[in-house]
Amino acid sequence: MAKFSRKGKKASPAISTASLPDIVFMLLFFFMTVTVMKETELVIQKPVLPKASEVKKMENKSLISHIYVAKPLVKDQGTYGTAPRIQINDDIAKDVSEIKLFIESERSKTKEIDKPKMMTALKVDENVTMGIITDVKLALREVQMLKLIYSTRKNETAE
Amino acid sequence: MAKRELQEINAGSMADIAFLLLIFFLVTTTMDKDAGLMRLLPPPPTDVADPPKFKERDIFIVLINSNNKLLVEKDYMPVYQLGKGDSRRLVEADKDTDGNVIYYFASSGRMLDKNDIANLIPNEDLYEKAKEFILNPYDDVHLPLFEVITKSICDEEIGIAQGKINALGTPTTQETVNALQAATNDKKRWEKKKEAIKVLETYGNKTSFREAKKLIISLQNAKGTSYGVYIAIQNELSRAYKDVRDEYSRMVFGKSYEELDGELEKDKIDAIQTIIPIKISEAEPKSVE
Repeated sequence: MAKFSRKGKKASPAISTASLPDIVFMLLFFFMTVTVMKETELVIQKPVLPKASEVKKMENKSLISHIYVAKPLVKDQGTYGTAPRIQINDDIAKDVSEIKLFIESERSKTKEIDKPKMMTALKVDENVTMGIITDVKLALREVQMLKLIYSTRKNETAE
Repeated sequence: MAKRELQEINAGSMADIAFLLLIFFLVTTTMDKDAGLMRLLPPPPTDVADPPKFKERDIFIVLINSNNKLLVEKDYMPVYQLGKGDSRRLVEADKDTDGNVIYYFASSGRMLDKNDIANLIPNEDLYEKAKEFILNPYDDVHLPLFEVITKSICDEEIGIAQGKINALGTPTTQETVNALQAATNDKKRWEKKKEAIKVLETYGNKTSFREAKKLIISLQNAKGTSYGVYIAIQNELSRAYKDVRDEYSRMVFGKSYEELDGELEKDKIDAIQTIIPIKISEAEPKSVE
């Protein structure tokens, strides 16, 4: 009979955690590949955005077209001068009318149902003067792109 | 020598290392989120015979000239301040020869250092003045004209608009098409107001609200105005509107506008938007020196 009796308590075998790193690495790689950072490369100086407190965060990044305005890079100032320039896509716009073409092309890329939700974000350096901004605004109005975001930094000091 | 059995390397801590990596990347990846002030541009101008006329009391003019000087309702005002309340110091903005914004104290003319510039906030006087204008709490004759809107007024106006629509029938000429459009819009507007009053009755024991039909805030700038200053002013006007809405919402619904739930309390949000519409007009620049 003693043949079948248990001899004391048997410790349960430890679960092998050897595959855990594989799972975590898989997660890591999944997130690394899925996160697409749609970042236009700036060909002008990085605009220092003005501060504001009443900001709204934008969902739906794909529906936002960006227009950058700042001074050209120091190395390009021989060609472009020091006055602020407009960047759309990856290039410096020759004049404001290019904005219209840009908006039209963005529109054609968007699904019909999402077209009314499209917005333009202006990423403008705080030292740029309003003259150029007004030109941009007028161009946007002409192509009926009326939803506008003045991109800003979040300002904590003013509640 | 006897061959020793290879010892298995303990892989238990590998998971920790991988987690550490994962968390490191999660924390350091800052996706630059789009945040900013939302504005709706007016549609491109059509051949309207007369631009709408405004009485002086209904329009709040904020003007920023090309030297970043601020004029609010014909009163000169420094753009920024440092500190709050009684201890605040007013700060003027100007431009240097390169077109960059510079800041100096209004009292002494001394330039601000970097630290101070980071802590600058727009002049609170503008915010207070804008708020007073939006509300006109004491029915001042120099501030916008407010009317009390009740349900019966709404019904009456809806009836008038409906009468017009019926009278026009099927439009034939461009003129009647426009008239029909206008009447339909009128009807929709009054229906919205009626809806707002219904919401007020249900949640807030109120049967009417005050409305300034022609109130408008006009933000004007010159071509040389700095964008940073312009946005600071825009922000102050938004803040004034937000606080007016918050206060009204708290008074009627016992909850600030920001706290209202987007789905469950959609009716309340709509009501507030009808009662306090944001009217900031961005005019095209004039050459103001």
